[in-house]
Amino acid sequence: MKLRPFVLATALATFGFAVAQAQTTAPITVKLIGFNDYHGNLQTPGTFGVNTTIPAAQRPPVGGAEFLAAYVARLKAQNPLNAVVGAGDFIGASPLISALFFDEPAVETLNRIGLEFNAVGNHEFDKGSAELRRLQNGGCKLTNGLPDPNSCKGLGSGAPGTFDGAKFKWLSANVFETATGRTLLPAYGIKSFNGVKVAFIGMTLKDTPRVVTPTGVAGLDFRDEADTVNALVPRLRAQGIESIVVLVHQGGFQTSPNVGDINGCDGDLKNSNGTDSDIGAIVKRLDNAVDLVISGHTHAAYNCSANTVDVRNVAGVVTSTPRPTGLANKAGRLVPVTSASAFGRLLTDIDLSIDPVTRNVIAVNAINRLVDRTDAGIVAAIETDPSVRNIVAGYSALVSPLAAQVIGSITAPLPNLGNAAGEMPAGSLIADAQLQATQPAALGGAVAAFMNPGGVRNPGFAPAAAVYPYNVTYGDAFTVQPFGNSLVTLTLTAQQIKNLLEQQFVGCLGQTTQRILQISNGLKYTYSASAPACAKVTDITLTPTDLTVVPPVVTGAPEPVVSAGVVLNPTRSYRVTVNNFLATGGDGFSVLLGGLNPLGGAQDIDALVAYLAGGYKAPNPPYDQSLPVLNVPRITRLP
Amino acid sequence: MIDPRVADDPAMQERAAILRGAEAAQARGESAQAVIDFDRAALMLHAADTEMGLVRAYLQAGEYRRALSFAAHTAGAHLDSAPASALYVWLLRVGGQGAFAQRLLDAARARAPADAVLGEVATEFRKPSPVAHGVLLETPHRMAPHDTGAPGQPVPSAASRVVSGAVLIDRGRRALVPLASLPADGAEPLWLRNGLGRTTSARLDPAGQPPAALGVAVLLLAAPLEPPQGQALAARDPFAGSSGFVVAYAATGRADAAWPWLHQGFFGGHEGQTGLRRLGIEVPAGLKGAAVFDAAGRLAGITLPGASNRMLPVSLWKAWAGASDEIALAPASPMPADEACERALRVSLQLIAGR
Repeated sequence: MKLRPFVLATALATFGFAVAQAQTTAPITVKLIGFNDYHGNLQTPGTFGVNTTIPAAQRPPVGGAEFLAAYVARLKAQNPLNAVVGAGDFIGASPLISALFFDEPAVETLNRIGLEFNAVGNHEFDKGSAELRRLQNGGCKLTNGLPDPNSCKGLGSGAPGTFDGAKFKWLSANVFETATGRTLLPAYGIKSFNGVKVAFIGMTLKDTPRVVTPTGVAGLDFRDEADTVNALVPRLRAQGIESIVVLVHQGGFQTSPNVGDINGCDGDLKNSNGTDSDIGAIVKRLDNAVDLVISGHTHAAYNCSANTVDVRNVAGVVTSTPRPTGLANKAGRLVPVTSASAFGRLLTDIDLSIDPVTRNVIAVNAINRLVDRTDAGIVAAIETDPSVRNIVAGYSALVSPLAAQVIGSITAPLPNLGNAAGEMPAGSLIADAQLQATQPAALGGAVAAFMNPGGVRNPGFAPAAAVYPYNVTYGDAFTVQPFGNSLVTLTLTAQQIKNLLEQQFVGCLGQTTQRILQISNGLKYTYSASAPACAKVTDITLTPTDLTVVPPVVTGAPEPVVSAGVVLNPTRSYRVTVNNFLATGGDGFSVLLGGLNPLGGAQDIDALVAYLAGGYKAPNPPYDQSLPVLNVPRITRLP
Repeated sequence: MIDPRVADDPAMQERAAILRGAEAAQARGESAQAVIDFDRAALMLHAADTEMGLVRAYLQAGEYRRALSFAAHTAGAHLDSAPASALYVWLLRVGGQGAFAQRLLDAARARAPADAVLGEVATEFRKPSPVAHGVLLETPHRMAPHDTGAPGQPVPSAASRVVSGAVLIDRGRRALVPLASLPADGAEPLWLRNGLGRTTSARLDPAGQPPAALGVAVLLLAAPLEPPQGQALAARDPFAGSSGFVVAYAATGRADAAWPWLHQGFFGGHEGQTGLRRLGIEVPAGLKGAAVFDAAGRLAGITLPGASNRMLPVSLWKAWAGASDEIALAPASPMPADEACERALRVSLQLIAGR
């Protein structure tokens, strides 16, 4: 140990070593960013003041994953030699936004925040050690042997349908598997800074079994915290490590007479009867090799270090007095001990000065800082990189109970696989829904709808393992139509409709990929695959059909629009509905840019919900595309 | 967590006194003071009763999301406190998260099968619209706001009862109510109360009423109720199939303050040529006059009495909503259900009639 002056460096300088040599022995500074008891608080837990003298109205909103990420990024930018560490309870007892998804959102946001090492806390064991291992290693949660629908949303993982697991390491130096005698998870982590290794030992309170359900800790043995650390010290030193940080999920409380400032250490964390707090009792038995203790569990904020301040309120006058302190270790030396409240309200910003020759920590400079959501620089940084905010927003949307609501029933799978002509069962349903939504005069007065095939996503309305008749949920529908496109009803001439259908094929009007549009009930056409570009469509017929009633009703005689490749009345106009992607020329359908009198409408998924829920939800019979009134197939492909 | 400070008798006596003060402030509707007092008590001991008090104080201050988040932690961190779990699942269901609430309730009952609070919650959860009464109204878990009247106003009498829902409009100065819910003779005193327990007397607005054919009336509040910040009317009626929220109170036949229940679903289409809409969103039978919000949390309608679930969309009554109500023109992002619930606590009202 520790806090030794620069004896060696000074001595070397005294004996005339070169300046360059002296520079290499100058202390290095490593920035540690610590926090604890995140408890899956992706969203702000509310307001928080630096102490109890701050009136409620003046306490800023704090926390939230995107703000934590931005503050961590700001601190890391101050020093490339850094590490982000935690003192446990980062999952469990978490809000709905994390708990509903088995705390995968907590892990994914912590990955993005940049957490590297984290002690296990008691709440890490709420769901048992196997689940903790899953969160560490990744993979989907199984319920009754099957992937749980609320697992592997993957908003912060590599891909939808996956869960990467924690990119940080959970550490459990004092948690042993009784079957193997090994620690459940690694005891410590090591990070090297300019060749100097710093060890981080992670632990939970030995009393974890008393505060966790028995099934959560079955087969595990929780050992004494100080004994565990002291036993590891020789092993670490044997690896040339002299800088040792303990991350422990155990803590204390500030006591009288001050105001509980986030950088206070009131009463040196002793209990009101003068006995040592839980954390104090641990530190008191720690080997002198330990340089810093980052603690948690009590949700209290304290900073028992060289930067401790006593903040007092005497008759309304608030004073702040520095009082360098720490908690005494086995040798009587004061060791810095910190805790950053809970729920991502605070970060502890710690600079370790390390002698690169002795590899010892020679100074610790710790400050608790609010994760203040009103900081303009941080807000701007989030605007620049909204990735974490987007993850939070995504999970916030997924929390909605809407996803499981049934919107209608279908008698058979409706996949997004096209037949030989390119017609998809799912596409026909979607086109019908869009026509129904825009058929009333006030909503567009449409007579036909066209849907781009690329917008009908996998797997269509054919979930794996579905049993038919199948109740289609909003979640199913959202999977097929996730883009949030809105409907646009346009006026096209007969010639434009012909041109639109010709533009489906490569080589016509600049089209580079064949894209067969999905068409609504009442419209039928024939094309010749071998005909030249722009001359493939031979016949188009439009039969007026009212889709606002179930089953649909034909309301007029079939009208030939194109016959033998000839547009019969080129200037006759029709109201047709497409989505806004197509309306702006998407997928190369530039013909639609010539549409007139556009009228915006509902979102595509709204139309789908209305169509199914209005006509094909129990007690109504399910949607059966084989019924003749639905006129499928609608597209005929000739050689 | 086992807090060693529990053995400090003088400190615990002081804490108990602070908690009593906090509950008294809460009952007076002084939520800010209640939060301060509960915070002080929380600094003295890590305990479920204090945290439940904080949850309720946040909620009575209108911070549903903060309350829900903290209730989640309180329940998770105090598994030995069945009422903490009960309060959390109740709040989850208030916000429309019934399935998850039931899952947690089942787990809590497995841990504490004989607990009276959990048992009563389970009984109520089997009903379409649960009602807090008896043991559910005891502190520290009390599952309803305190009834806090406007200064100087007569409070609803013991014989009064909630007769309908109502919708706060005109920046808190007026309210829309189903015409059929008003006492026929017009002689009974009326009060309106929001989901935070704030109550004020009200009367038919002498400045004018919508056509009777619309089936709604406008009440003028004796003391305005604070609307949610940025509350806006939907610029147009929601499209059929789009999602939205209905926030409705349970029918109890009494006059107790209560939290309303949020229901989320999909709007139905037009009903003939009347301009009325099929509500679409499935709402259990209960009080009509519930506030209807579109997916972005903008006020979009009021539910109407009758056998079928119908709503009077905003397009038919916005002329009576007050010129000062902002109309949202810009497209808006979908609002999460918890945020919608937080706003609705101030917009969805109980109409109370005296006897």
